[in-house]
Amino acid sequence: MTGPWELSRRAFLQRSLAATATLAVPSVVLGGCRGAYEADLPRDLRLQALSAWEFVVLRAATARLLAGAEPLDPGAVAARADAHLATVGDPAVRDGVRWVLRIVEYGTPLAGKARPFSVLGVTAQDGVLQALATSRFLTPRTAFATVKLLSGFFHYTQDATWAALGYEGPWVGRVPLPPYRVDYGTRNAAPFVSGSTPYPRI
Amino acid sequence: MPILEGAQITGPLTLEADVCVVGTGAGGAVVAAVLAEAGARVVVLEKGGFYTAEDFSQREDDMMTKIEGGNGFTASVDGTTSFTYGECVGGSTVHYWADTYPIPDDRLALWNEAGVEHTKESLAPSFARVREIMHVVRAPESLMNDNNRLVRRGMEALGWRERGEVIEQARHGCVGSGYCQQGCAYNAKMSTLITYVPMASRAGATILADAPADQILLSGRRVRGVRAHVRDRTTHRRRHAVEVRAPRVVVAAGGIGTPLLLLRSAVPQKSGMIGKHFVVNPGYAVFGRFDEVLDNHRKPPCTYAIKGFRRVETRADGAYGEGGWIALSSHQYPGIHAVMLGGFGAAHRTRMLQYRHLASLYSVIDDEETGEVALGPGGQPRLTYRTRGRDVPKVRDFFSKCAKVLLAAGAGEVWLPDEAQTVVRTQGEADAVATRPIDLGGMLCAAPHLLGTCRMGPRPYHAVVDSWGAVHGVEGLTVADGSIMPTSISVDPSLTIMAMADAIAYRLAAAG
Repeated sequence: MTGPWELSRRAFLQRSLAATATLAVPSVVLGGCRGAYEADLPRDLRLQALSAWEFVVLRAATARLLAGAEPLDPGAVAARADAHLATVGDPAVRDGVRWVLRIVEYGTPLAGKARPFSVLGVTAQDGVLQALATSRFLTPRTAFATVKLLSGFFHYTQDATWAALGYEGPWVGRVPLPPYRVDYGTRNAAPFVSGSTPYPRI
Repeated sequence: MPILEGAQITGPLTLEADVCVVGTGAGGAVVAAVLAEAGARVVVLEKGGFYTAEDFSQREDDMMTKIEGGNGFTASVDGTTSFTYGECVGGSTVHYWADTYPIPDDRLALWNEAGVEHTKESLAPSFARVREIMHVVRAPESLMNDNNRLVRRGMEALGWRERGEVIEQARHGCVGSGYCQQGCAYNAKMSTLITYVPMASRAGATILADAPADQILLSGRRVRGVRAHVRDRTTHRRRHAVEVRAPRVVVAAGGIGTPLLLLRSAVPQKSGMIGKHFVVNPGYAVFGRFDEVLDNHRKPPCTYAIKGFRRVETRADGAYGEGGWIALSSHQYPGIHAVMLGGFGAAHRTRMLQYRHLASLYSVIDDEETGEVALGPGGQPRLTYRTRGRDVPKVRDFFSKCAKVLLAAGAGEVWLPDEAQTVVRTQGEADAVATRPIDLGGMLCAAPHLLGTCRMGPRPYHAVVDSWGAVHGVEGLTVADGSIMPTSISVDPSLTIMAMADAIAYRLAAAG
């Protein structure tokens, strides 16, 4: 439910997260510092868009958001999200993802927890996600929705997840139907050399 | 002339033309084709890549990268609203569902009251041309999937037959794969990619893909061209500068792209309305669970719609009564479906396993509350929008009535997409949904119709463009896309955008 108590993103960050981050600082120092995040990465993983802590938080959130799904590899889901985000040209998108993952990691006081999300036990993590999803504030709710989008979309777009749903997958490659022909005129397959020479007048 | 892709451009490029068109979607492609066929030298700049049927893999993640603006991740600053728009040759017509509607008469009349010159009669030739080229036909029964049939059954069971309607489709030779939203791999769904773009190309227009426009070039209050660049399709890194010298520029980059380009170009304006009045037709889903296995992911998504609640009905005291939306029979593939369902963990999984048992309806809310497209710090887009105020009761009414329809069709239960995982099992419970609070911020709101940000009107102090898309106070600059619509049109706007672009292009061609 929306209401007059809602804050803008900036105001929320200033007023609410500042407080929650303050509570979380000791835990960050003790158990969630940058080195700890990096040590928690798969050895062969090369992140393209997410940082180490972002990957770890997304992987942890995915494990709970999709708990019960078979097969489920939260690390693979987070890696797919990372690869996709690397192709997004708008830096605001990555900033937004970073922002919502920060809310998940350090918004744990909303559920009465004083440690970062990624180091909590599964029951406590579920409690944090529930608190975010049902918060009276808009910002945690939309943060939850965004993380759920990343987890759900990049899990259920894997072929291995479809059989359980009864979804047969794309026709392309299975059903031989060539497209109707479209004439685009002369299609120039060779490189178009321009250099300093202006393109000839049309 | 060929369609040139970014990888083919090996150095800086300077082009001369009579007209430079920015965008290849429902507006730009029509303008380019009409003007090129009229003999004008036309250069078209398209930000996105050039993909054809052979590239359409029918995979959500792959196609999101290829054809969706912002790779599918463009959202409002508060995260409540996800904006869906095309970014490829063909623009949003590549991913739209091809259910087709003309602008309702009452909405055009509303615009006329505000000084818009177009009338049903004046637009009739344009609608006729567009309908022919886009092969708009009534949906045959053979293309109706279970979802559409169930919705129709529910409407008839409720005695609402006259409020539902079989919807015309822009298709030719549909094979029923159901992947309309991911680009038709069979060239059966009509889009500008396979109609107006090839027409423009064959008529001599030069079309540059992977070429975002950076700035409209002005000399005082007169247009002299467009500065753009060619980018790498994967990384979006700038590769080469492009300059198009042209005395006429037609911008058709959509409800977000067009105002951003005008703002970046510091186009002189008295109205201050560029980017304002942003309306999006918020889309929410509601699901009905049926015992039988359904084929909803095949065939066109929407061949039947609930249109009878399109207009708001007020009570005797003037307060909101009902309506202000239409509902489209819809379906989603597993990735987006997972995002739209409420809950998480085991509860979410239980619901996902019902994938083949769910019918769904999707809203087109006729929004009156507006947002804004603006330039933020560093020139980055800042998109403000949220379903609020007068539009919230419309969403509740949509949920309520659609729940009634799905239950009447035989659904055992109806699911709202909220995180509280609201379940509706009786008609009485469905009625109650219309008045109970509901959390819109926590559910996916997909906004597909991005309109109003360069609205038209006769007065330079109140509108960005006149009725023919000409930007007030700037010679040679025209806008021809959904951004010129002064309000939402309460239905899918694609056909109307094309018809208005056609009318604008014919006027430009006649002016020489």
